[in-house]
Amino acid sequence: MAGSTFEKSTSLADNPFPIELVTAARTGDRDALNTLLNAYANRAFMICRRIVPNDQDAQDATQEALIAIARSITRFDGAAAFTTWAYRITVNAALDEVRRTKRRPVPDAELEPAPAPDPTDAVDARITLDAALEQLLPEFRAALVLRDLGGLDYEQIATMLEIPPGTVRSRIARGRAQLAAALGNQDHDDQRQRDTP
Amino acid sequence: MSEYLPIDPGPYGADTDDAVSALIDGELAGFAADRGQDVATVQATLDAWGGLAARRARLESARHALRTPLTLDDPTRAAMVAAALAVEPDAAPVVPFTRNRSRRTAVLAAFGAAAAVLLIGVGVGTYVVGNRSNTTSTAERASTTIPANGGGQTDSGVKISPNATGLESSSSDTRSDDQSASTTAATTGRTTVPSDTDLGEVSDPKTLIAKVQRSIPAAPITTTPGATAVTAAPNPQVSCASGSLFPAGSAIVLETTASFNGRTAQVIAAQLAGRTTVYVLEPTGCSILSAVAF
Repeated sequence: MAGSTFEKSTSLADNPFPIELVTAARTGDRDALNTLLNAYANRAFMICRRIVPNDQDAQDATQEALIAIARSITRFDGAAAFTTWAYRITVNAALDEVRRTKRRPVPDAELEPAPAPDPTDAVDARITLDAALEQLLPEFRAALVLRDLGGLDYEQIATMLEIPPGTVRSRIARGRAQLAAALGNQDHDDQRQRDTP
Repeated sequence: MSEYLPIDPGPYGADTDDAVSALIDGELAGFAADRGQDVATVQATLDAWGGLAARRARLESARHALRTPLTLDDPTRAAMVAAALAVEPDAAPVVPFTRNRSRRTAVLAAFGAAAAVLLIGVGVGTYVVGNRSNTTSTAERASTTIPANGGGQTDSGVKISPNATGLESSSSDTRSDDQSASTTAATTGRTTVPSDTDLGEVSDPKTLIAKVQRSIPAAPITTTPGATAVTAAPNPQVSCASGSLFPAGSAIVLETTASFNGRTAQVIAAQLAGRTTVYVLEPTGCSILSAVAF
């Protein structure tokens, strides 16, 4: 089943969710739902992975999101785009997972310091991004993800997160600034460090 | 030696990042309105600021990093979708997302099934005959302490003492080392599946697939009658209900234990249309730790 019959999209510009497919899934067509979930799964994982700090927990959140979508698809009224509706479910699942992770005891092995990252290595670069993201509050990550991955406007994000649009703007700006600083782009941070001879 | 230099705060001071970020997103109107200005004025103010390009590049670098593509591998995605499709659409409003409803249902159903088995055991005497097919799991076939009681759907050869506390204790008794398994058997009077049938560490998906492939018996343990039906777990150490995980018609081919990142886990595999889907579950809450399909 996995493979070529559906689009495995991670790009935000394309739309693998045509209205006919969503409508069929809403009305109980399990094949349509299968196609829809397969097309959305990568996108859901990408959102979850940017909010949840590790692969396994992000996969748990993704699974929960897909289950929630499958369970409630018949009640999707089409007032918003499918993606907007699905993003809301996905972000909620991810934030739930973050809360759950915080309550979970950390095994000793996870407390050991990680080796210093090599920025030339793609895996290490990802670890660096993970570490940078972890410095942001989950609510900031959620706003950033909904804007930069979901492509939602501030008003939509405000509605989704139940906060004022001005707060959305502030969280996105501060999140970007903190992320840029944590990733090493600090030449325009609140203080600029310059080596002197 | 390092020297710290103050940065140019920009035309809006601490709010300059807000303005530039809003500019990037095409959301300048809100920022302008909050300051009692029009968009053109804010735009002109930013354009006149010499630090705009650098600040904009900095904020866009974060945006770019966040957009680095990530994908699920095909087996994991397929397993996730299969699990989602096994859930019946819910007509009742459940807009507040409740994470573990399906799992709670599965656990409760499994608990009920186990309680029924225990009640039968109390009525009959010392031994309880489990409900399973004549095809045993790899774990049980490998056991030297469990009698081979072939035939029919009723005899698993699993001995459970009357004081066994059922599914919850079965789950909490699960161990991955020989000594723990032996101790459990000695203290509860229950014959446990030897630990050498435990799959061991399965956190790596490729390892998981390889081990499951080696462990799948020739014939399925049972077949899920419906998408939401739950089968009784034939392995006493497997407390998570398997039936609710898979689409209707799936054949449960393996239920056993393993370790996932050092934590005790349960492994349940099912086949449908030639495809095997495997879940690694946390034994007490039955939450999904990993899933693969092949």
